[in-house]
Amino acid sequence: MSDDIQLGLGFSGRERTPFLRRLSALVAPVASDAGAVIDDEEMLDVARAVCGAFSHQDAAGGLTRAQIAARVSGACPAEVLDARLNVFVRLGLLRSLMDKKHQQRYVLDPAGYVGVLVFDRIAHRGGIDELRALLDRTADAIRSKQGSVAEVADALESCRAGFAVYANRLQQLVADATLAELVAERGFDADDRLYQTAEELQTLVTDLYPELDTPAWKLVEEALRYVDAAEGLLQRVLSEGGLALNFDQLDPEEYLTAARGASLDELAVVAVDVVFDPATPWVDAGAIIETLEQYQPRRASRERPSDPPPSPDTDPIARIQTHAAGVAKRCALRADALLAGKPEVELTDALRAAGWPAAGHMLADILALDTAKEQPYRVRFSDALYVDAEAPLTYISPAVLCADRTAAVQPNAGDVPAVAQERAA
Amino acid sequence: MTDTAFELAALRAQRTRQLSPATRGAVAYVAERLGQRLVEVNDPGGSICHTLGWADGYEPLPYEETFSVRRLSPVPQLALATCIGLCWRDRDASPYPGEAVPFNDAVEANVALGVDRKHVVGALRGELQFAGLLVESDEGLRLGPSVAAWPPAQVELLRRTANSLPRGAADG
Repeated sequence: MSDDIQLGLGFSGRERTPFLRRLSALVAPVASDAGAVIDDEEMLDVARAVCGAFSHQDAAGGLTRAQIAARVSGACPAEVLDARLNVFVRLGLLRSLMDKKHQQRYVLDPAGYVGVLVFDRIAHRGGIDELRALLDRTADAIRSKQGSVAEVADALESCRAGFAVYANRLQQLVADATLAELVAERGFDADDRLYQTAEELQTLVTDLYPELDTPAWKLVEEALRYVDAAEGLLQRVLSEGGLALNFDQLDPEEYLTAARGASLDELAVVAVDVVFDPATPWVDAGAIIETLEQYQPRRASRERPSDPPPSPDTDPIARIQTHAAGVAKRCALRADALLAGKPEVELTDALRAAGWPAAGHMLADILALDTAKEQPYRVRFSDALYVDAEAPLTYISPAVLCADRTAAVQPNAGDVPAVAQERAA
Repeated sequence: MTDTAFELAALRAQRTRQLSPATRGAVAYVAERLGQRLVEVNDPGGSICHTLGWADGYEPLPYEETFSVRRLSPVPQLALATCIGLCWRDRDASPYPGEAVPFNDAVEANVALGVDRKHVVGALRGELQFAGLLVESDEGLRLGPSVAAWPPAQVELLRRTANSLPRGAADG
């Protein structure tokens, strides 16, 4: 064996990825030579694509090479696909539909399909799931008392050996591996459920097969060693990765989980050794000058509006009273003018002479005086009716204005004269 | 990490730092290649230390859409303008460090402009000091190292418009 192969180079001289290294180790027990395993992960994609080509009902009658090529179109170049199909045919992943010469149709052996699934699971998870399944199967067999003492002893030994192999590998990684190798291997399960399962198995064995207590206890010890080694690996990944500020070590989902579930102090640890620029908001002379030019102080509170200017009018009640007094005085003067110093006077001629509408205004003023108790003036109408179709007043009843100055009531100060109210109405 | 790189990182992180004569030249050389310059300032103890500022013509242009920066809100900017007006008495000299002004004088000068007193105190005690634009000591408020780091062109622009800076009671 050359040094190159020990350094992780494949048979073709290409460096193997961690995935392919596991794959090679997985296949090694059945490989006839060191070049039996692919050294390019894309070759496994071709195998997946070929298996996928047979995953529909129309493949029940087999597929020709051309049909397979059409279904895996784009997975790889045609010559590569042809070479891979030759390998698959020779190893029995693809079998002739009938065992005849020149048979051109192939069917997929289900074992090959399962093989692809197994490669994926073991290569990505490191195979620890197989150990978990072995533990579960052993526990089920013991519970149902399916096996003899020797068979149970063999199963316990297989489980212990599995834990020992994984624990040794992890301890070697923790001691010697680089950070990149540790990151590649961090798929190992550090969950102590494996240890709990081993403990439950040991309890079961102690109850049902007391003579196998010693191998069962050894199984628990190896399981504990494995869990400790897996935790040691994760601790080294986290501590060294944290120091190197390598943020690729965790998946985005793991970062999201940490952001949602971790405490502030735990999250702050991530940036303990990170140097930041101090917070410096941008400010320069131009911004300061612009602020000075645009700044307008905001009013802190609402101010009460100023009082309205005083009204130029005097007391409105007094104004009304003054106006009413004026009206009453004017009406009285008019009545006095009509009376001309006499106690009574015939108004009919005066009204007819005034015409329309002056006669109406005159009569309204005099009637307003008649209704005011404080005024001495009274009007009497006779039942006669003068009718003159040609005159401005077409009809009028004769009216007499008289003044009884001895019976007049003196108004109280502030009272609005009744004559003024009548006029207002 | 080399000593120069470490000193430069520490200078950025601390804003002001005393540089040994052995590293000062190397740090200044690297800063110059980055469009920055070393500026001498006084630390609170009175000794000489350094801060980083942009060289003339190399400062970022925050007014363009490609460079987004956090800006001061109007009240802290007005408070800073007032402090520059109060502390920068000799307009022929550099505004930094200027003269110390009592804290209450700075507050009252801003209140006289119609700014809320509580907001002024918050800006003077908080944001402006965190940003290194002001430094408070027993003597009162002084302009901080971030003002010292302003490029000369900015200082000249401020000098030309210095008459518009509020100066508190002196304005009256």
